[in-house]
Amino acid sequence: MNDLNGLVLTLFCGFVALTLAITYWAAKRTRTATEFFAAGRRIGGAQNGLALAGDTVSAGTLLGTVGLFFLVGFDAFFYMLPAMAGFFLLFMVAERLRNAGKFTLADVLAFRLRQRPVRAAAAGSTLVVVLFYLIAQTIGAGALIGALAGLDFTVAVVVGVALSIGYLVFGGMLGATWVQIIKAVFMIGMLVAFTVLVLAKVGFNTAELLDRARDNSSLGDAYLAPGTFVNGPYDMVSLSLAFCLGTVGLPHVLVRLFTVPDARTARTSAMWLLSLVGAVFLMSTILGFGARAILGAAGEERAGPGGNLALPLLAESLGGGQGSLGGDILFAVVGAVAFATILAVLVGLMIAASGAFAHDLWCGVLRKDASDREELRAGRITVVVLGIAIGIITIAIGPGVNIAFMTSLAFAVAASANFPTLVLALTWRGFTTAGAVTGIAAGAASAVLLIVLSPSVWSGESPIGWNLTNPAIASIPIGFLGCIVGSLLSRRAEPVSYDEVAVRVETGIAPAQPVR
Amino acid sequence: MSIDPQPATRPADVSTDDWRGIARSAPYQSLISQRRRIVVPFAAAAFTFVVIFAVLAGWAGATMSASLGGGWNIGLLLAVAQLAVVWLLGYGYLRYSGRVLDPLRQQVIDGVGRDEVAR
Repeated sequence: MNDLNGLVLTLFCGFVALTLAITYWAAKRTRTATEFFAAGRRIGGAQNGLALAGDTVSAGTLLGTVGLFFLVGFDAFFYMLPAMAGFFLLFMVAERLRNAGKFTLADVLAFRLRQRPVRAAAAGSTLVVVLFYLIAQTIGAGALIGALAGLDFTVAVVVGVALSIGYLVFGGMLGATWVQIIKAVFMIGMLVAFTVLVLAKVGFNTAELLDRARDNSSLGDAYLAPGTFVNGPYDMVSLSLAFCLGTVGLPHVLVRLFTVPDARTARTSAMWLLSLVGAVFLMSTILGFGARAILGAAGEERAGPGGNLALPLLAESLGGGQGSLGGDILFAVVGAVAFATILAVLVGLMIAASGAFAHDLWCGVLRKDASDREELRAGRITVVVLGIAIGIITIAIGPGVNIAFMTSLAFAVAASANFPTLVLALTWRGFTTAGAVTGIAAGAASAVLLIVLSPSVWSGESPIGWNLTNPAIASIPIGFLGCIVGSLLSRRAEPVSYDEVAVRVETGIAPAQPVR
Repeated sequence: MSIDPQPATRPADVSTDDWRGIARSAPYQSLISQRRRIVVPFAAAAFTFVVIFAVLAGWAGATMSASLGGGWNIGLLLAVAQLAVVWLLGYGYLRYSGRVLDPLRQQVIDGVGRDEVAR
């Protein structure tokens, strides 16, 4: 370990101390299930907007997107841009979701359909999405912390998971929310500063920045044109669909909408999210092209195979270069922010998984008369067991696995299983319980199957001639088809009339109340 | 408070027939038609932008890389424009919700407990 690693760890310890203090404060306010899963529904609009932005911009998004722009140029847009439209679509259903739900995605479906089957199905798909996402994030986290702070992979995973469990068991959703807010503020502050520094290098002339980036790439003109990385036009469409519609079905984002007091605050927080994410995306683009313009081809080797270290290296160069004091400090800042980001995203994913297991499966399907106390205890135990399981799985898989692949799996399942059921539950009178269960099963199964049969698993040659790396272009229509066919074949009356659901989600008459 | 039959407390004095009554009332009908007027075109616009961007990148790469001076080309301009357009759609929806939908929503809520419910 050298001085630089020490600096990263010192800054990171500062973040941990701050968040632990907040957790201590939050722990005194986490005594009921509503407080544990939904922060007592007392989070404000701007606060929740920041927390949402914190939840959605993972270390993978932050360092991965900048790295991808650095390495392949234009094609990095397909991994980022469609999510912006996805957040806008989420924005337009945010109020309805807030009015319909209590703690989880399954609540929204169970609002009008039969409890047990839809809870089991929705909790199942939530857990699949969150587990793939969690494993991907934890692997990425371990590898990244290793590179930035000089910690061993296993040590890094154990530290990350242990801290996440601590925040959640004691602080619940309130603790998780403030961890997200602090992380989001640090991250955005850092991005703004770096963006200004990069643009200053080219006299705030973006044409000049792009020009230099292209001249410094071995790809030449192709660097600023589509087609250097994504495997053909159909994959471009498929990837765009997955990142656009999958965004609407991400469980750890949806659960945040239940932490605000009313639908109007949910709307305000979604606008904050859209603005913050738009700014983060724009700055990531500038920093990615900036990294290419400033680091050039010489930086490729140090940035690693996925380009994940392009941002910290860019920071080092902006601060004065390798070995200089300014360079060391800025490198350490990126390291600490990445560390904080990883922790915050683990926390957000784990509380979503805990809700799906404890609230939907344990208290909604297995033990229907569970008390509030029991639900709270189930939530806490789930966090501990899940955290330990994720730690063991991640250490067993090791750092070698391609995390972009696992993340795309999570988005594909979210887009194919969660998105169709969510949209139809809120808009289609003829939707039934059987339709929801069929749709979730068909969407999730087809997404997983098409990924398993894709060329990325069979090293180049799919056994069924399916040549897309992302399944969304086929599995989203299959998910919708499952919902529609299942609904048309079952004409059993549902427990709550569509009229009641439509009126209540639209007007917010009698929604889940904040804790007074 | 275990799992409620409904995620929220259900107003005891509102029956299934009442909900149908509210759903058919003039204020509610005008609320959903005004909402549909903005949600459908705006959602279509955002989604279409995403799909068209991918289609152009996939099948019209030469057009997308046509230079606009400096390093800028049509594809990069469309990418930045997409961020701006989607943000503006969001801002437009926020304003419309506050100015048009919220008052209509309040009318529906005020109506409950008067004519529809008090049969």
